[in-house]
Amino acid sequence: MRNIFKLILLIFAGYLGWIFISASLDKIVDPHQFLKSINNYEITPYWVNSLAALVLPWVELICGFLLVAGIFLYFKNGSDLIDIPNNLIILMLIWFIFILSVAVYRGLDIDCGCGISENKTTPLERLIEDIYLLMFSIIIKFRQRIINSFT
Amino acid sequence: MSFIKKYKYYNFIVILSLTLGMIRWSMLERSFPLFSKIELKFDEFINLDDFKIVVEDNTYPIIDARDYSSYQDGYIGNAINVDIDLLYELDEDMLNNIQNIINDYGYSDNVIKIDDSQEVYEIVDTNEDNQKVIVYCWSPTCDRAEDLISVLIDTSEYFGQFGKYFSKNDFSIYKGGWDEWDSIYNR
Repeated sequence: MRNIFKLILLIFAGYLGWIFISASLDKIVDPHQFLKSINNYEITPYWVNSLAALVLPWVELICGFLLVAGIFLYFKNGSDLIDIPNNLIILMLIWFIFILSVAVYRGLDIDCGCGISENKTTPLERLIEDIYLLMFSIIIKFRQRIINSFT
Repeated sequence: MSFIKKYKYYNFIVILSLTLGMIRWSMLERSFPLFSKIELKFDEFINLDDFKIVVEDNTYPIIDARDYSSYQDGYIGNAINVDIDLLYELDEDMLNNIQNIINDYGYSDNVIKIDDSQEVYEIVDTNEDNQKVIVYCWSPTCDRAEDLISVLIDTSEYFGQFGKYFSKNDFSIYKGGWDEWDSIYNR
Protein backbone atom coordinates (compact mmCIF):
# COMPACT_ATOMS: atom_id res chain seq x y z
CA MET A 1 0.00 0.00 0.00
CA ARG A 2 2.81 2.37 0.87
CA ASN A 3 4.50 1.72 -2.42
CA ILE A 4 1.31 2.39 -4.32
CA PHE A 5 0.92 5.67 -2.47
CA LYS A 6 4.52 6.57 -3.27
CA LEU A 7 3.85 5.90 -6.92
CA ILE A 8 0.77 8.13 -6.72
CA LEU A 9 2.91 10.82 -5.06
CA LEU A 10 5.42 10.57 -7.89
CA ILE A 11 2.66 10.91 -10.50
CA PHE A 12 1.06 13.87 -8.70
CA ALA A 13 4.35 15.71 -8.21
CA GLY A 14 5.46 14.99 -11.78
CA TYR A 15 2.13 16.14 -13.20
CA LEU A 16 2.04 19.30 -11.06
CA GLY A 17 5.66 20.08 -11.92
CA TRP A 18 5.00 19.54 -15.63
CA ILE A 19 1.88 21.73 -15.58
CA PHE A 20 3.68 24.58 -13.84
CA ILE A 21 6.77 24.37 -16.06
CA SER A 22 4.81 24.21 -19.31
CA ALA A 23 2.43 26.98 -18.20
CA SER A 24 5.31 29.28 -17.29
CA LEU A 25 7.26 29.01 -20.55
CA ASP A 26 4.69 30.80 -22.74
CA LYS A 27 4.37 33.55 -20.18
CA ILE A 28 8.13 34.04 -19.94
CA VAL A 29 8.40 34.27 -23.72
CA ASP A 30 5.49 36.71 -24.10
CA PRO A 31 4.83 38.73 -20.92
CA HIS A 32 2.79 41.27 -22.95
CA GLN A 33 0.16 38.69 -23.73
CA PHE A 34 0.13 37.46 -20.14
CA LEU A 35 -0.24 41.03 -18.90
CA LYS A 36 -3.24 41.51 -21.20
CA SER A 37 -4.81 38.35 -19.81
CA ILE A 38 -4.41 39.30 -16.17
CA ASN A 39 -5.57 42.86 -16.84
CA ASN A 40 -8.80 41.35 -18.16
CA TYR A 41 -9.59 40.01 -14.67
CA GLU A 42 -9.74 43.61 -13.38
CA ILE A 43 -9.03 42.51 -9.82
CA THR A 44 -5.56 43.79 -9.03
CA PRO A 45 -4.07 47.21 -9.83
CA TYR A 46 -2.04 47.62 -13.00
CA TRP A 47 1.38 47.87 -11.35
CA VAL A 48 0.74 44.61 -9.50
CA ASN A 49 -0.28 42.98 -12.78
CA SER A 50 2.79 44.11 -14.67
CA LEU A 51 5.11 43.00 -11.87
CA ALA A 52 3.26 39.69 -11.61
CA ALA A 53 3.44 39.21 -15.40
CA LEU A 54 7.23 39.41 -15.14
CA VAL A 55 7.91 37.56 -11.89
CA LEU A 56 5.13 34.98 -11.47
CA PRO A 57 6.11 32.83 -14.48
CA TRP A 58 9.62 32.47 -13.03
CA VAL A 59 8.22 31.47 -9.64
CA GLU A 60 6.10 28.86 -11.43
CA LEU A 61 9.07 27.59 -13.43
CA ILE A 62 11.37 27.33 -10.40
CA CYS A 63 8.67 25.72 -8.25
CA GLY A 64 7.89 23.24 -11.04
CA PHE A 65 11.52 22.16 -11.27
CA LEU A 66 12.01 22.05 -7.50
CA LEU A 67 8.85 20.02 -7.04
CA VAL A 68 10.08 17.34 -9.44
CA ALA A 69 13.57 17.43 -7.92
CA GLY A 70 12.05 17.45 -4.42
CA ILE A 71 10.02 14.29 -4.88
CA PHE A 72 13.14 12.39 -5.96
CA LEU A 73 15.06 13.74 -2.94
CA TYR A 74 12.16 12.66 -0.74
CA PHE A 75 12.30 9.12 -2.08
CA LYS A 76 16.09 9.05 -1.85
CA ASN A 77 16.68 10.28 1.69
CA GLY A 78 13.32 11.41 3.06
CA SER A 79 14.19 15.07 2.57
CA ASP A 80 11.35 17.51 3.22
CA LEU A 81 12.67 20.11 0.77
CA ILE A 82 9.69 19.38 -1.48
CA ASP A 83 7.51 21.25 1.02
CA ILE A 84 9.03 24.56 -0.02
CA PRO A 85 7.94 24.57 -3.70
CA ASN A 86 4.77 22.71 -2.74
CA ASN A 87 3.72 25.37 -0.22
CA LEU A 88 4.33 28.10 -2.78
CA ILE A 89 2.30 26.14 -5.34
CA ILE A 90 -0.57 25.79 -2.85
CA LEU A 91 -0.51 29.55 -2.27
CA MET A 92 -0.49 30.24 -6.01
CA LEU A 93 -3.31 27.77 -6.64
CA ILE A 94 -5.44 29.30 -3.88
CA TRP A 95 -4.91 32.71 -5.46
CA PHE A 96 -5.69 31.38 -8.96
CA ILE A 97 -8.85 29.69 -7.68
CA PHE A 98 -9.90 32.95 -6.01
CA ILE A 99 -9.49 35.11 -9.11
CA LEU A 100 -11.00 32.48 -11.40
CA SER A 101 -13.99 32.16 -9.07
CA VAL A 102 -14.48 35.92 -9.16
CA ALA A 103 -14.23 35.83 -12.97
CA VAL A 104 -16.79 33.02 -13.17
CA TYR A 105 -19.08 34.78 -10.69
CA ARG A 106 -18.92 38.01 -12.69
CA GLY A 107 -19.52 36.06 -15.89
CA LEU A 108 -16.39 37.35 -17.62
CA ASP A 109 -15.93 35.79 -21.04
CA ILE A 110 -12.16 36.03 -21.14
CA ASP A 111 -9.22 33.84 -21.94
CA CYS A 112 -7.90 32.63 -18.60
CA GLY A 113 -4.31 33.36 -19.62
CA CYS A 114 -3.08 30.18 -18.07
CA GLY A 115 -0.62 29.50 -20.85
CA ILE A 116 -1.21 25.77 -21.16
CA SER A 117 -3.50 25.45 -24.11
CA GLU A 118 -3.19 27.30 -27.37
CA ASN A 119 -6.95 27.41 -27.55
CA LYS A 120 -8.96 29.78 -25.48
CA THR A 121 -9.71 28.26 -22.08
CA THR A 122 -12.56 29.71 -20.12
CA PRO A 123 -12.15 30.57 -16.43
CA LEU A 124 -14.64 27.83 -15.46
CA GLU A 125 -12.68 25.06 -17.19
CA ARG A 126 -9.51 26.28 -15.61
CA LEU A 127 -11.12 26.65 -12.18
CA ILE A 128 -12.09 22.98 -12.15
CA GLU A 129 -8.57 21.98 -13.21
CA ASP A 130 -7.01 24.19 -10.53
CA ILE A 131 -9.16 22.59 -7.83
CA TYR A 132 -7.83 19.17 -8.89
CA LEU A 133 -4.27 20.50 -8.83
CA LEU A 134 -4.84 21.95 -5.36
CA MET A 135 -6.01 18.55 -4.17
CA PHE A 136 -2.85 16.96 -5.56
CA SER A 137 -0.59 19.45 -3.81
CA ILE A 138 -2.49 19.08 -0.51
CA ILE A 139 -1.99 15.29 -0.74
CA ILE A 140 1.73 15.92 -1.33
CA LYS A 141 1.82 18.25 1.68
CA PHE A 142 0.24 15.71 4.04
CA ARG A 143 2.05 12.73 2.53
CA GLN A 144 3.71 11.68 5.80
CA ARG A 145 0.47 11.57 7.72
CA ILE A 146 -1.16 9.55 4.96
CA ILE A 147 1.78 7.11 4.89
CA ASN A 148 1.68 6.78 8.69
CA SER A 149 -2.03 6.04 8.55
CA PHE A 150 -1.30 2.90 6.56
CA THR A 151 0.51 1.28 9.49
CA MET B 1 16.24 38.73 10.90
CA SER B 2 14.67 35.56 12.23
CA PHE B 3 11.95 35.89 9.59
CA ILE B 4 14.55 35.99 6.82
CA LYS B 5 16.39 33.05 8.35
CA LYS B 6 13.25 31.00 8.92
CA TYR B 7 11.98 31.46 5.39
CA LYS B 8 15.34 31.64 3.66
CA TYR B 9 14.44 29.14 0.94
CA TYR B 10 11.19 30.92 0.16
CA ASN B 11 13.01 34.24 0.07
CA PHE B 12 15.61 32.73 -2.20
CA ILE B 13 12.97 31.56 -4.71
CA VAL B 14 11.20 34.92 -4.67
CA ILE B 15 14.41 36.93 -5.03
CA LEU B 16 15.68 34.65 -7.79
CA SER B 17 12.36 34.98 -9.65
CA LEU B 18 12.41 38.75 -9.19
CA THR B 19 15.94 38.92 -10.57
CA LEU B 20 15.15 36.69 -13.54
CA GLY B 21 11.97 38.67 -14.20
CA MET B 22 13.90 41.94 -14.23
CA ILE B 23 16.53 40.45 -16.55
CA ARG B 24 13.76 39.33 -18.90
CA TRP B 25 12.20 42.79 -18.65
CA SER B 26 15.47 44.45 -19.66
CA MET B 27 15.66 42.16 -22.70
CA LEU B 28 12.13 42.86 -23.96
CA GLU B 29 12.02 44.48 -27.38
CA ARG B 30 8.69 46.20 -26.87
CA SER B 31 8.12 48.72 -24.12
CA PHE B 32 6.68 47.16 -20.95
CA PRO B 33 5.82 49.95 -18.50
CA LEU B 34 6.07 48.66 -14.93
CA PHE B 35 4.20 51.27 -12.96
CA SER B 36 1.99 53.13 -15.37
CA LYS B 37 -0.92 52.41 -17.57
CA ILE B 38 -2.54 54.87 -19.83
CA GLU B 39 -6.22 54.93 -19.09
CA LEU B 40 -7.59 56.40 -22.27
CA LYS B 41 -10.96 55.92 -23.80
CA PHE B 42 -10.38 55.69 -27.50
CA ASP B 43 -13.01 56.28 -30.09
CA GLU B 44 -12.73 57.03 -33.79
CA PHE B 45 -10.52 60.04 -33.16
CA ILE B 46 -7.86 60.86 -30.61
CA ASN B 47 -7.00 64.41 -29.53
CA LEU B 48 -3.56 65.94 -29.20
CA ASP B 49 -3.26 65.54 -25.40
CA ASP B 50 -4.18 61.86 -25.45
CA PHE B 51 -2.00 61.27 -28.49
CA LYS B 52 0.98 62.81 -26.67
CA ILE B 53 0.46 60.34 -23.80
CA VAL B 54 0.29 57.47 -26.30
CA VAL B 55 3.53 58.60 -27.94
CA GLU B 56 5.32 58.87 -24.60
CA ASP B 57 3.98 55.57 -23.30
CA ASN B 58 5.09 53.74 -26.41
CA THR B 59 2.80 50.76 -25.92
CA TYR B 60 0.40 51.45 -28.79
CA PRO B 61 1.27 50.99 -32.44
CA ILE B 62 1.27 54.23 -34.42
CA ILE B 63 1.00 54.30 -38.20
CA ASP B 64 2.30 57.21 -40.23
CA ALA B 65 0.03 57.24 -43.28
CA ARG B 66 2.01 59.93 -45.13
CA ASP B 67 4.15 59.22 -48.16
CA TYR B 68 7.42 57.35 -47.75
CA SER B 69 9.77 60.27 -48.43
CA SER B 70 8.02 62.55 -45.91
CA TYR B 71 8.26 59.79 -43.32
CA GLN B 72 12.00 59.58 -43.96
CA ASP B 73 12.30 63.28 -43.11
CA GLY B 74 10.71 62.81 -39.70
CA TYR B 75 7.91 61.04 -37.88
CA ILE B 76 6.17 60.98 -34.50
CA GLY B 77 7.43 58.69 -31.73
CA ASN B 78 7.91 55.14 -32.94
CA ALA B 79 5.49 55.47 -35.83
CA ILE B 80 5.65 52.89 -38.58
CA ASN B 81 5.16 54.08 -42.13
CA VAL B 82 2.42 52.60 -44.28
CA ASP B 83 2.25 54.60 -47.50
CA ILE B 84 -1.08 53.73 -49.12
CA ASP B 85 0.24 54.40 -52.65
CA LEU B 86 3.01 51.86 -52.12
CA LEU B 87 0.53 49.51 -50.48
CA TYR B 88 -1.62 49.63 -53.62
CA GLU B 89 1.47 48.41 -55.49
CA LEU B 90 1.85 45.68 -52.82
CA ASP B 91 5.26 47.03 -51.85
CA GLU B 92 7.04 44.45 -49.73
CA ASP B 93 8.27 46.89 -47.06
CA MET B 94 4.77 48.22 -46.49
CA LEU B 95 3.30 44.73 -46.27
CA ASN B 96 6.04 43.76 -43.81
CA ASN B 97 5.36 46.84 -41.70
CA ILE B 98 1.72 45.88 -41.34
CA GLN B 99 2.61 42.26 -40.66
CA ASN B 100 5.01 43.38 -37.91
CA ILE B 101 2.23 45.32 -36.21
CA ILE B 102 -0.01 42.24 -36.38
CA ASN B 103 2.72 40.02 -34.92
CA ASP B 104 3.98 42.43 -32.26
CA TYR B 105 0.65 43.61 -30.92
CA GLY B 106 -1.38 40.40 -31.14
CA TYR B 107 -4.17 40.98 -33.60
CA SER B 108 -4.46 37.35 -34.54
CA ASP B 109 -7.43 36.41 -32.39
CA ASN B 110 -10.16 37.99 -34.48
CA VAL B 111 -12.81 35.81 -36.03
CA ILE B 112 -14.99 36.54 -39.00
CA LYS B 113 -18.66 36.19 -38.15
CA ILE B 114 -20.73 35.50 -41.22
CA ASP B 115 -24.46 35.94 -41.37
CA ASP B 116 -25.50 33.96 -44.46
CA SER B 117 -29.08 35.11 -44.47
CA GLN B 118 -28.10 38.75 -44.60
CA GLU B 119 -24.94 38.10 -46.66
CA VAL B 120 -22.95 40.27 -44.28
CA TYR B 121 -19.94 39.60 -42.13
CA GLU B 122 -18.22 41.34 -39.29
CA ILE B 123 -14.83 41.01 -37.69
CA VAL B 124 -15.11 40.17 -34.02
CA ASP B 125 -12.31 40.62 -31.53
CA THR B 126 -13.29 37.66 -29.38
CA ASN B 127 -11.72 38.71 -26.11
CA GLU B 128 -11.72 42.44 -26.83
CA ASP B 129 -8.06 42.80 -26.05
CA ASN B 130 -6.93 44.28 -29.33
CA GLN B 131 -4.87 47.35 -28.79
CA LYS B 132 -5.81 50.43 -30.70
CA VAL B 133 -3.71 51.41 -33.66
CA ILE B 134 -3.30 55.15 -33.96
CA VAL B 135 -3.09 56.49 -37.50
CA TYR B 136 -2.12 59.99 -38.55
CA CYS B 137 -1.28 61.82 -41.78
CA TRP B 138 -0.68 65.49 -42.52
CA SER B 139 -3.62 67.54 -41.25
CA PRO B 140 -7.39 67.36 -40.67
CA THR B 141 -8.00 67.79 -44.39
CA CYS B 142 -5.79 64.84 -45.32
CA ASP B 143 -7.79 61.66 -45.89
CA ARG B 144 -4.93 59.18 -46.30
CA ALA B 145 -5.53 57.83 -42.77
CA GLU B 146 -9.19 57.03 -43.51
CA ASP B 147 -8.23 55.50 -46.86
CA LEU B 148 -5.56 53.36 -45.25
CA ILE B 149 -7.94 52.10 -42.57
CA SER B 150 -10.53 51.14 -45.17
CA VAL B 151 -7.84 49.16 -47.01
CA LEU B 152 -6.66 47.45 -43.83
CA ILE B 153 -10.15 46.32 -42.82
CA ASP B 154 -11.03 45.28 -46.35
CA THR B 155 -11.84 41.58 -46.62
CA SER B 156 -12.23 41.34 -50.39
CA GLU B 157 -9.84 39.29 -52.45
CA TYR B 158 -7.35 42.01 -53.26
CA PHE B 159 -6.61 43.66 -49.92
CA GLY B 160 -8.29 40.96 -47.87
CA GLN B 161 -5.04 39.73 -46.45
CA PHE B 162 -5.33 42.06 -43.44
CA GLY B 163 -9.10 42.27 -43.10
CA LYS B 164 -9.21 39.19 -40.93
CA TYR B 165 -6.98 40.81 -38.34
CA PHE B 166 -8.39 44.31 -38.05
CA SER B 167 -11.81 45.77 -37.51
CA LYS B 168 -12.83 49.39 -37.69
CA ASN B 169 -12.87 49.62 -33.90
CA ASP B 170 -9.17 48.80 -33.77
CA PHE B 171 -8.24 52.18 -35.23
CA SER B 172 -8.20 55.68 -33.89
CA ILE B 173 -7.17 58.66 -36.02
CA TYR B 174 -5.10 61.58 -34.78
CA LYS B 175 -6.70 64.24 -36.95
CA GLY B 176 -4.25 67.04 -36.16
CA GLY B 177 -1.62 65.03 -37.96
CA TRP B 178 2.02 65.76 -38.57
CA ASP B 179 1.45 69.51 -39.16
CA GLU B 180 -0.09 70.11 -35.73
CA TRP B 181 2.44 67.91 -33.92
CA ASP B 182 5.37 69.46 -35.77
CA SER B 183 4.24 72.99 -35.05
CA ILE B 184 3.91 72.33 -31.30
CA TYR B 185 6.62 69.88 -30.36
CA ASN B 186 9.31 70.18 -33.00
CA ARG B 187 9.77 73.92 -32.93
